[in-house]
Amino acid sequence: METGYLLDVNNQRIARNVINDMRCTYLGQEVFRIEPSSGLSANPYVEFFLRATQTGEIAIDWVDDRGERGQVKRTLTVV
Amino acid sequence: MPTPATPRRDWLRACLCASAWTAWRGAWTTGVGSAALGLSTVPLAQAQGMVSGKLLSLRDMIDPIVAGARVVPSGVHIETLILADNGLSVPFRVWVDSPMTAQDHVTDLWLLSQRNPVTVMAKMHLGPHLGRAEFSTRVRLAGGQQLVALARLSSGEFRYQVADLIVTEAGCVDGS
Repeated sequence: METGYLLDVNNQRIARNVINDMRCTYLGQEVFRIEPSSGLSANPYVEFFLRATQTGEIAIDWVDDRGERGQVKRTLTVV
Repeated sequence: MPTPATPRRDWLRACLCASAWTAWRGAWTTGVGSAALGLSTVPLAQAQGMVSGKLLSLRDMIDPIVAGARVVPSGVHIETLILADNGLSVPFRVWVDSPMTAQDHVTDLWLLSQRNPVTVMAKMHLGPHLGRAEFSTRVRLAGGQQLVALARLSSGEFRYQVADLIVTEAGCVDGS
């Protein structure tokens, strides 16, 4: 990630590139969404709670300033 | 005191251990909103003399988001360091007293910075599915400052809490 405040060898600002949108989807419904800026640290280790009602899939999607997307999916088993 | 029997090195090591242990024990705190207590405390950053750069006031940080709605300085809790050695990664935990039901829950949560180049560090959209309005992350700080956690409830009311931090090394310049 780039905060946007560093200069490269030619004294030009390196463009900011941080994750600006991250969503968590549970059972097909969006349950949590965070829009960070350069104010969160690199590797921010985001923690939040979720009420697990039934077995289903949790998907976390994110997109950064350059438009690159990522996704992680896990199956949550509720006994 | 160093004596002929205890070399200076051992005495220095003991002093360092003692000061590091007390600093570690005292470094974790729960933020207490000075506004909630009705106290006008001098911010720690100013007391420490670390006031380079423009510091926003509480109203500067909150007003653009609140836009005239009711703001109550209670019900929000912050757990973070009093003194962060490294501003690149400062653990920060916020939780809001809310039943998180469909009728009464927290809809949005903002992390606001007093000194960072970008004031809104993060905006979170919460809902009743979460079960608990609690959030934890690591933030990047450009020096000693106050952080504001602002929560918007489903009723349209806003709640906030202020935490005062000292940061030894600003987190603006790094290679990550």
